Amino acid sequence: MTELPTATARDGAGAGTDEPRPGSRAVNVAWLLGGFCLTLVFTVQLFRYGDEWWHIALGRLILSQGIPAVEPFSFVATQHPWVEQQWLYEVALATLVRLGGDGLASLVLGLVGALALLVAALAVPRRAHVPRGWSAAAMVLCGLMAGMALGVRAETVSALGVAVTLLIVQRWRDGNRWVVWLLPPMYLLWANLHAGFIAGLGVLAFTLVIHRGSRSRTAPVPGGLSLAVICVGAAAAAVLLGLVAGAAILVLLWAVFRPVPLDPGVGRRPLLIASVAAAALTLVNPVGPGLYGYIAETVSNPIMSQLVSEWQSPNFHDMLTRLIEVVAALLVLLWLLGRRPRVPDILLATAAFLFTLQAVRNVSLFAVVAIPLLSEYGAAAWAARAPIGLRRRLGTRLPGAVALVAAVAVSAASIAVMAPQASAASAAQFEQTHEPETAADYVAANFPGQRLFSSDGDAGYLAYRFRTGRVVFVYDEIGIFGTGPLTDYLDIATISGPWKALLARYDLRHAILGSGSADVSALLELGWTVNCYEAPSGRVVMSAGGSPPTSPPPPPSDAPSC
Amino acid sequence: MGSGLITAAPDAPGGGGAPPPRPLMRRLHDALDGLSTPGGLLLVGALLITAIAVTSAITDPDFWWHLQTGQLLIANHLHLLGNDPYTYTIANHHWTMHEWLFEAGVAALYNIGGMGAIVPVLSLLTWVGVVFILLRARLHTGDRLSLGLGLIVAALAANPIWGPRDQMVDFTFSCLVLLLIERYLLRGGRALWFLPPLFLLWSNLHGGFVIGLVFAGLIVAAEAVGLRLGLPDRVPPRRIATLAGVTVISTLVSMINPNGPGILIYAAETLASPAQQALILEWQSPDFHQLEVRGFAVMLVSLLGFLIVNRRIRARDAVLVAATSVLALESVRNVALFVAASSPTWIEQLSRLLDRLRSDGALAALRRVGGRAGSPVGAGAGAPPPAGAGGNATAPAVRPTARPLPPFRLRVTALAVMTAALLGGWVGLRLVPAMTTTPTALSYAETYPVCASAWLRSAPGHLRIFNQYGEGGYLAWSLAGTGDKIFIFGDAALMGDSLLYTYSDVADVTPQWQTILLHYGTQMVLFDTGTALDHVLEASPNWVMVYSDPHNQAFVLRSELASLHLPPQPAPTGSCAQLATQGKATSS
Repeated sequence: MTELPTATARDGAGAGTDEPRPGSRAVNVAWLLGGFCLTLVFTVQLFRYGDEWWHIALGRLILSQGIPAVEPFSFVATQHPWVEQQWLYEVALATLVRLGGDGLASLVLGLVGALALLVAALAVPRRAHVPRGWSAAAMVLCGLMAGMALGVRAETVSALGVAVTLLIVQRWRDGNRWVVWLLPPMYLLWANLHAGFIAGLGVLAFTLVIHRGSRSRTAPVPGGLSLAVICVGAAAAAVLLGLVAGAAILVLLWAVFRPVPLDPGVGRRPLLIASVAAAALTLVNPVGPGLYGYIAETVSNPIMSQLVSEWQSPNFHDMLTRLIEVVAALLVLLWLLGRRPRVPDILLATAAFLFTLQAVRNVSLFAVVAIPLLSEYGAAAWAARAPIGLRRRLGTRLPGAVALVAAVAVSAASIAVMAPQASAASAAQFEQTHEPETAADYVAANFPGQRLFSSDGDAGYLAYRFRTGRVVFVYDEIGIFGTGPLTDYLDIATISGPWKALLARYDLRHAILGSGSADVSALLELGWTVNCYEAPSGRVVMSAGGSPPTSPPPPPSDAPSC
Repeated sequence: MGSGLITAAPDAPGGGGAPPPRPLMRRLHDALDGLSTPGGLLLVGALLITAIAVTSAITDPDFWWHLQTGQLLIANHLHLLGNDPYTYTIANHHWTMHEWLFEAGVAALYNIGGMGAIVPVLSLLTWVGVVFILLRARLHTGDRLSLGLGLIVAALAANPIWGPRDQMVDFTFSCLVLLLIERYLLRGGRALWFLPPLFLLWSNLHGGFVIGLVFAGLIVAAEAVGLRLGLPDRVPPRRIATLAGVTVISTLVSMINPNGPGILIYAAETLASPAQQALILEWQSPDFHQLEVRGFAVMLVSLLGFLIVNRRIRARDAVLVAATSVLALESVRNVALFVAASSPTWIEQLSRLLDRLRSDGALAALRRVGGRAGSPVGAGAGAPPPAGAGGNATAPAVRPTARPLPPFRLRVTALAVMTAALLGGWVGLRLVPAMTTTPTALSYAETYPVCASAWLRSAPGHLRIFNQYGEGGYLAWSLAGTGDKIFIFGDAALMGDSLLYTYSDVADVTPQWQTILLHYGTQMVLFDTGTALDHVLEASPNWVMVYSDPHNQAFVLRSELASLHLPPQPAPTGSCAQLATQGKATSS
């Protein structure tokens, strides 16, 4: 059996690499610059999330009228109070679009996403002296993986927040006791940008509970028995309550039975006080503690995983999703080949992996957690395993100037690839082919102020187009609608339950739908007619009032163009 | 090979130097002595629990058309059918009957004893696979705690897949192939030469035999690379070469089947079918929001955890774990392959972890429970591990048990009581109910068109019926002899991607749904109550409902209603009456 030697370096120190030599700073900067620019290719994206449209609409509304007190777009009576949980993000997004169009928003959010990956790459122990080539490689691999969850969306901001939290925690572990005071202002800002700050608080809570204070004692439980309790408890929670609960129980039980000692000179109290202050400051937002109620409602809503694909488990038939497996396997391999990993690193990566298996949207969290681990343990494994001759040959460093020139060249090439994504023309074309743009024009001209049925994804765009009049049905602000309206929406959208009665109850007489959807077929059988067809995006506008067909109706695409 | 490395034993006919035979009573006593330790009790209990887990009534929707096909094969003197006799949509498709022997066997069993004969045989087949897993794990560890826990975790992980169904042939044969290969690589001997006849049989039972060849090929490649890189757990090169040769011979032998060499690409075509992967539930990735799939996640993550702690794994085990993890994450049906290939590694890694803890003096309580057998089940506790087993060769010696065990008679009584209780539970709660479930039972009426097909049998035959994909098998079986034809059934490879997409267009009620139905000359739509298609048919003025029960509704074109001469829906009796009562209760 392959016995993998324990590296000589002690935990956290000397990842097996040489001490930095003069000139290596420039090379490291070059690696990071190149990695940063290369990841822009994955993070600069057009408005592929329909949600961003209603966020822009809200931002404009807030800029003109202040934060709305009730839900502003839908005609549905929501079951939960309106929680404006990302008002600052929405204002910023609307401002960016006003200043430079969709392209500027794509560029800025792309930069934020790439910055998240870069900051995560920096979150390695200082004394590990990780060569930044490993960091750049980890950034690119994880950037490619996380690209499916980044882009123009507030979650990108949260990815940056988690990365910065990881960096601050790492510097605190390195012995910097003052850096933790960046947390409170950061969380004040973050809580007003996106509810994803809860993930950052989770990282802080994890760090606090998993480490044993210098004065505290280990629980008087035999090691083997405690391991058995941890494993059985976590497994039972994972099976019965879900993978996220399993990860949480795993961490909690580990913290109770086998807390990890901190390095000498690192005190837990500064981080504890700063974290409490940060958590307290998250209450400074337009809805105060109600923000946490909103998060709980969103996360616990059982309809979420039916309605929104990114809350579902990963579909590993997708090649990019396969990268989740690659990154997880690579981590395990590096931990086998290199130095023995630290327990908190294993637990945090395991938790992030389980979160991702539960909901693919958490892949960006997995990415920012994995990047520093891949960098550090990759370097250590290389140092421990690679043949000396090969290491020497590859270890011959380029002069700093040459490295910088190479980095600039890579960066220029990346920007050349990425730039067209951020242009106004491509943004306009993307909107035309992905959103019901002309269908909305048709409705605005012919059915002003009348209620519209559409998919929840399209409803976000329609909220952007029809900011007043409350003509939109359910859109993807799941947390506020509640189970009742969401179930009604699903019944109509999937032609199940009392769908016909619901059409009448909500007085729905017009619809914008995908031309191939079941709703179109069903509504045609009820006598609805197709008013027009929008070829670029494949949408149709339909209205009630006709007579049921006596023969199979013609394809919706035969209708006049919108 | 340095000390502390796992080494393979030199070749020896019969698997190495065996101890001289002991008297029967002595062996029995030793066996009972080992099995009545706390670890032995756990292991016996785990084996019986897995028997409970793998036994159930038949729930596989494909079972029914396999049964009907087998009956046709028997009636046809085992001559293969060139085309399928069930559908009106793909009459010109060539049918690769890769399961002909399985189907004939199932039909023969049914003719002998109905479901009561099929359920125990298929359940036993699956359970034997679990025993093969145990035997493979025991080549590396005799720790009964690990073995018992491993079997329970494996049973939990494969929970969504267990049950009497054709894929269990692949599970059991995979387990057996891996056992034979592992045994040969560790001990040598001639058992490896069972592989060619095994593949001859397997390739006639199910097209999934290709996975066995892939496993063998992966092991050869991993060991060859390990040899090249000088990895410490090397296997003698001659054995690797022999395994490679036997794999090639097995590949050639597997072509001896009614479908010839084409059987080899059949599996690849299935795996490469985007329609099957997208539209068929068990080909999709595991949905970890569902309770039954989470056992697999627990097994996978815990295995990775053990690996990280132990930092030791053989190249071939690593490759098998990686390959089957990828397969299982891709398609939930492949979880069975993951369990078949990775469970012994899970068990060995847990055993290694427990050894580590025991050596640290940290697991005094578990030291008693685990007790090391180190020899086949039934041998006395404390016997040394088998020669060349290797897995724990480097493990620290375990200290004697802290406390003496209870008297032998008391322990054997406990073993007997536990075994009797679990056997009784297995027979009473699982086996007998599964065996006595008739094809028209309420549980089937809730899942399949049992009542609708009873009504259809009273109708004039030769109808062309659009049906739900998963119900095609039951209709093929239940409407045999009526001349009725269905739109689709569960042999997705035979149906082809084009028909699968076409079916999906109708089932999902895309705007061309009626055009498709008319294009194929469909006369009736028999679909699940409450689905989108059902609701649209209800709403459509062109279609009229002719049959309705809580599970299914049937519609025909209004213009053809008179010409079809359909009988009125009869008053429900038996399970259909129960179903109707349930439906009323639900709706009220």
